[in-house]
Amino acid sequence: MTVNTMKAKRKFDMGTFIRANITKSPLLAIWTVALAAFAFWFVGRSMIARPLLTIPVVIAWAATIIWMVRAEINKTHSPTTLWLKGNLYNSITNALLSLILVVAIIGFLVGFITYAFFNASFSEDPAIAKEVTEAGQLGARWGSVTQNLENLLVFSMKTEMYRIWASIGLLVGLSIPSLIIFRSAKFNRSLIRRILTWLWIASPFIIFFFLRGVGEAGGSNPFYAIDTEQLWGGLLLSLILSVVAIVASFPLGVLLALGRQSKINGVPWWLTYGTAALLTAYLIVTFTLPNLEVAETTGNYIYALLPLLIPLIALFFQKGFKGNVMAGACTVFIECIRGVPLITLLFSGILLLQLFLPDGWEPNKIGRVMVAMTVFSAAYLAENIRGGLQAIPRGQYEAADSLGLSTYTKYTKIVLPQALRIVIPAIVGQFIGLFKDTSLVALVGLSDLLNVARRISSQQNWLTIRTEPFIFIFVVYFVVSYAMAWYSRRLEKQLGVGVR
Amino acid sequence: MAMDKSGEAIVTCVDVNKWYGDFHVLKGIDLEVTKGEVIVILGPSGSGKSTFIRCINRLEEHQEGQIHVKGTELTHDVRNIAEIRREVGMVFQQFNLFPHLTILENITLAPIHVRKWNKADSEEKAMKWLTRVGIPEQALKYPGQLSGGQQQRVAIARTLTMEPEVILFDEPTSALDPEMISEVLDVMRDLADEGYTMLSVTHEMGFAKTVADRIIFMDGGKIVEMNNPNEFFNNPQHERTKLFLSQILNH
Repeated sequence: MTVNTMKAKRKFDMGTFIRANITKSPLLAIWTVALAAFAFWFVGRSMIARPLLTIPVVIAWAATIIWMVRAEINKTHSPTTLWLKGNLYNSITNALLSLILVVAIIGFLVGFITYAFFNASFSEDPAIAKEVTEAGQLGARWGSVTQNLENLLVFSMKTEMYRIWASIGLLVGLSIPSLIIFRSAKFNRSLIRRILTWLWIASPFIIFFFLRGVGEAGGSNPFYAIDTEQLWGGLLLSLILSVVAIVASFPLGVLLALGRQSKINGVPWWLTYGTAALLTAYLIVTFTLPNLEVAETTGNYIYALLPLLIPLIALFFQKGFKGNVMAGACTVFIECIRGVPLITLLFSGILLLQLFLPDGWEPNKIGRVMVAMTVFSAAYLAENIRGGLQAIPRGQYEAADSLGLSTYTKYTKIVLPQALRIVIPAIVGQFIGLFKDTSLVALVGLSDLLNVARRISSQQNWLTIRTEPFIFIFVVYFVVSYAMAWYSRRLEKQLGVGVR
Repeated sequence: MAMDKSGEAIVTCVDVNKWYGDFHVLKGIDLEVTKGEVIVILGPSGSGKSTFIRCINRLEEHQEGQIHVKGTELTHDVRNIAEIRREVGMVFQQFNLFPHLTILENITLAPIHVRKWNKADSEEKAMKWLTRVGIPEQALKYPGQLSGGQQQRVAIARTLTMEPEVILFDEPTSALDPEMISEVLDVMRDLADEGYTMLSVTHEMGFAKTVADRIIFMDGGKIVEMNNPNEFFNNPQHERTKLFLSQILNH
């Protein structure tokens, strides 16, 4: 009896259905009618343009709806019909949207495939390419990309390919044993594993040596120094810049984060007095002694002896100053860097860096851009890491303190391992952003991936060709960024061992 | 270790005062702990008992008075603090094991880095203590894989492997499920029997009655009453103590 009434209640009711989907409110009624009209127009247009693809879609749509509705009315749902009901057709609006989206995606794919393959020319001869693509409606001239592939990937380093092969060889040579040694528990804590870890840590430096080189050309050293500003470019430059910024900013970011957290008040005595002693000695030699030799009046003597006041000032400073210099300096640094856009920093790096460096030390444009990007990345990294530090419970610090661990051990063994693990997703996200931000160096005149792609349109062979190179760099940026995101997810899972 | 209550003072506190801003938490605490003594500190919450034992290893800073541990005074000098922390072990309410290290690494970290023992010795001593607290088979697991009672026993082993002169217990059983309290109390009872010097803040009256040499009752940041367990429970002197005991013993 009760079961029957419940069944009767749950039975499909046309009135309820129409009320819920159309006549609940005037707005909903207008929306549903408008959407239906749009779907009719949109699908109709698509049917005229691509009848062979659109008609089967519409038939499949109608058939699955009828199947689903019949199952709903007769209460004979199978997993498939339930999935259809839950995901595609749970209301009139969603049923219409599903149709519109599928038709739109088909339209886009057909258009793109026609452009990229059927109407496209793969010839590197501009004349043939022009002929082929102008016969059809709209087609890609991939020759613009394939002919410039070396430029896009390595730019002028194509004359120095052995350096790139050496680097790739190193990476592959490290990866293959890593796959075995890091995967198997047998090598946990073994010496070979430690050596491999150190080699990985050293690899960015070795690769930098391969790519940049040291010393004069002409000797027995094949990796002599090259003019990086002229030769580096394309994807290679983007990768170098982002990896250098990532590697260099990491320790800097950790130090900044710890510095901003520090609770040390005042300045250590050795720092104040050491600085004062050096400064006094320097001034006595360069200022006091020459002035004493030519001094005539008492005023001259007093003037010459002024540097002797420095120790006194240092003494007062040491006794009186109780502020937290470390935290203050780190905060100012971080906020100043975060307060300006990267492009501003790049220009400052190019124009102003020289003022802070000693004479005779003139890094080229690439070096300056590296400094700017490292500093930029470090400031953001510091804030991410600080977030991780704050997530460590106070009990961890207390346990480390009560065991008598030194501050150094406390941070390197207890706090940082846990804090860094927490912020891996944030750090990887930041590094992906940094890799994409390397496209900004095009604005200061370096030939990165974006700049090379842009310049193709001014080559004699490929005048005004823009789309194809941009599609290519879209794919390159996406593949590299996605690879990083994928690796980060894997790393998180791996490091998740034993988390509470 | 035999019962050795020679009267040598391990911890000496003279007129210890502490404020949190305007709030006077500790009001002139005087206490002398002799070697091998087991002291249990009782009191209502907010009476300053946890704060007091946390002052002894400088997790909290006292502002007035002196604390000496084995003749070393606790001052701002980091060398003194380091020396005292080597000799004072602490077991926390929330265990505070390091979740990213295995049980064995948790225990050997301080011996290797603070005591500068070599790894093999440290591991041998760690295993000895893990065996003593009854869970040597858990050595290679991570803290998250252990029950609360097991974690607390690991925390005790971690503290004892450092061979401290005095062990502070800060409500070691308060975060445990009832059926796990006894396994931790049994370990503490064994340690007391062996003559370890212990200062324990706890709410376990049974433990206080049977194990303590002295019971301290604190309220409002002061030591209200201090006596042996028999006198303390059967013949309390102060009204405040009587009220406290009637409240906890009657329910």
